[in-house]
Amino acid sequence: MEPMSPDVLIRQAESLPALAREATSAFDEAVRSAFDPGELVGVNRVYLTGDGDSYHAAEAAALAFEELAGVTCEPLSGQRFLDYGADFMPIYSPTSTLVVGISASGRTERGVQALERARERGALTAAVTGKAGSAFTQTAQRSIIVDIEDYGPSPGIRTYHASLSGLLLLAARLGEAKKRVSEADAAALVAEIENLEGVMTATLEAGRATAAELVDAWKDADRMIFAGSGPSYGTAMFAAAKVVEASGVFAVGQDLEEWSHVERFAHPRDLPDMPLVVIAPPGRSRWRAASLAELGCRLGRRVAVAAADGDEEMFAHADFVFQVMGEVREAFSPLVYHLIFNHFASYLTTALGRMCFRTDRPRR
Amino acid sequence: MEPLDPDILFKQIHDLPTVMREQVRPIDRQVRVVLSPLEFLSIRRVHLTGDGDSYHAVRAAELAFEEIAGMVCEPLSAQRFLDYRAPFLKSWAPHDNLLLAVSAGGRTERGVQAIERARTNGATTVAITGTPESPFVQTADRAVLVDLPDFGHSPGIRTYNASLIGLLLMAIRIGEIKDRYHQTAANAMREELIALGSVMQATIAACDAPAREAAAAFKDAPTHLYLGSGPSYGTALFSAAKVVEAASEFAFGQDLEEWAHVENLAYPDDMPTFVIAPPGRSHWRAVKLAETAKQRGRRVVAVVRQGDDEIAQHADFLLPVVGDVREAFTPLVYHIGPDLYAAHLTAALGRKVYQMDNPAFAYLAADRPGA
Repeated sequence: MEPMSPDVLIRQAESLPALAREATSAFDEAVRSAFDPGELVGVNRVYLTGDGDSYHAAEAAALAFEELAGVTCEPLSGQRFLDYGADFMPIYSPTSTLVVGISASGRTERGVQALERARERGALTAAVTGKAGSAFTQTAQRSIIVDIEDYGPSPGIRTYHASLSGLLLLAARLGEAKKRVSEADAAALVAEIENLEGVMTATLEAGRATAAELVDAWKDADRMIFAGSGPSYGTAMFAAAKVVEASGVFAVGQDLEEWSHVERFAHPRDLPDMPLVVIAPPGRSRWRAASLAELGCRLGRRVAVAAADGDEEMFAHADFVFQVMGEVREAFSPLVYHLIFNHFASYLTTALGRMCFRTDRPRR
Repeated sequence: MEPLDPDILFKQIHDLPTVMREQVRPIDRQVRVVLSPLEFLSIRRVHLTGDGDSYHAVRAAELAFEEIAGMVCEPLSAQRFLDYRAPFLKSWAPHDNLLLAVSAGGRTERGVQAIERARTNGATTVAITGTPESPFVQTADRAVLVDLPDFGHSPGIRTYNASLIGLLLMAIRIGEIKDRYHQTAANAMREELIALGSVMQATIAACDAPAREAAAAFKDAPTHLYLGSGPSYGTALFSAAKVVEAASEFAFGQDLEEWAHVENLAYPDDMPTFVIAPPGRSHWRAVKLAETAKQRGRRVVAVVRQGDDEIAQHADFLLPVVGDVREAFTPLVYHIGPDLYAAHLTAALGRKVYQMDNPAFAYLAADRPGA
């Protein structure tokens, strides 16, 4: 593979506001046309499965299914669903359990196997993918095609947005089918995603310089942790993955509470200052994020937070703050809260003199 | 508190066979009566929650509830259960939701809040804890006490197995009462647990030397990774936590497949990577990923059944489990080799547990467990 410049991440991330504006309506139509009328009414349990970015999207979207659609939702990586989840799914009718396989390329092997196993077990299966005619669409009974203009090889950012949008819109329309939300409210939810364009643009504007400053401060770190809960756990994993894919720096996404029980005790190389990023949108776990950012500071960690504009309590416990400029409901926050970390991953890769996906090194 | 020597870890590990032999029956006696037969019969969904080691235990026990008890089961850390699962609990009949909340100390704040929230939302709550009269016991509807003779303060190893025993016996009991198998089969599974004491004894003997050698070889490594799927994901999380707690080094447990999609790309190439792969549902994938890791340049440690050459051929070190263990029970045994590694690593680095003797971290004393 040709050396892949870290600039590709910037180009992808900067395109997301326009993508939200221009593609959401088409994605919504893809969701609505994927299922037969009435087919979703009986769904009471949803499994979301994917690998890598697609798994992160699944974790990020679970709250939307619980909150908007009122269904129990379990996200699992492709292989875990295949080998552990599928065999134990409760199936009460042909549409009681919906398994959604996610893959931008539509060909992830474990995902295809997971969809096959789900069908064998009698679940209703749907693919959320960017590729019509792919192994995913050929395997699943229903397909939601979230195709977007190809920007060339890159760590997945636009594709993540597309997959996540497809899932969130499916949650909204599932809620409508199950009469949890009215038709008008479902349409309003779609519009909410479209209108994130403004929040995304302002957030990028506010965060670029801070991302560069953060790289200056943290470029010596050979490991870092991103922590979040609920949908922000998905955001934490995705943001960490971009750092790994772009720069090769060891970054991990961790459950907020688990960080306080395990990794907070790590002082590698006798230093307490391992970078910690806390993803803390307004919502159900914001209260805990504040206390853990404060703990991080007390332990001597270098702390950055992503929080809503004006969240002074979060900002008080951080060396660096990324402000999300505008209101976003928690279930949709994963579309926005990862944005500036793509810039961070790109700038960090440049600062380290590396190329994305190790393309500056001989393949092993 | 006096600085803890790594010997405390060895003492805990060497007592694990005794815990199995002496604790399974008394814990089982409690499990059998913690709910009435009607209450056991009414369960439709099992929710498992805990933090730290207790979260690792519930992750590790999930398969047992699904495979043995036939239950829909989702393990979550206590704060995620509290804020994201409990508000969405659906109940159609009394006792259809069962929350098993795990905490050795019985006082984890988020766990107590999780129990309260679950009770408010109509779930039946059972605490699995080593501490009588603790907030867990006082808050939950019922409790199973998994208390052990006190060995003093230490990163939890015996308490982890005690919590796991409580969880696995609950899974066996639910399946038995729901008539998924005859009581003879249930009793055979209980005996299987007790018999693991012998497997543990042999495993400790087989793993000690390679664990010491691996620790000497890896003591300069900046990062350790532990990989597993299904119940072994819990084992991976727990094993990584022992390195963090004991040696203060950075270690992380990751889902087997996810590693292939993300951390596979991370530097350094020679990162020690422990592949936890008992015989079972995900062994096929572990074989392939151990090979991938080796090709990447990782220093691979295989935690596998003795004689598993498929994975061993890709490993720099082997931490063998000596004997057959059904996959759902493997979390009781497969952490032993990694625990020995954590203890030897701490000793090789010349450290006390939690670096309690390091004046540079004196300011952290108030935030340490047991402080």
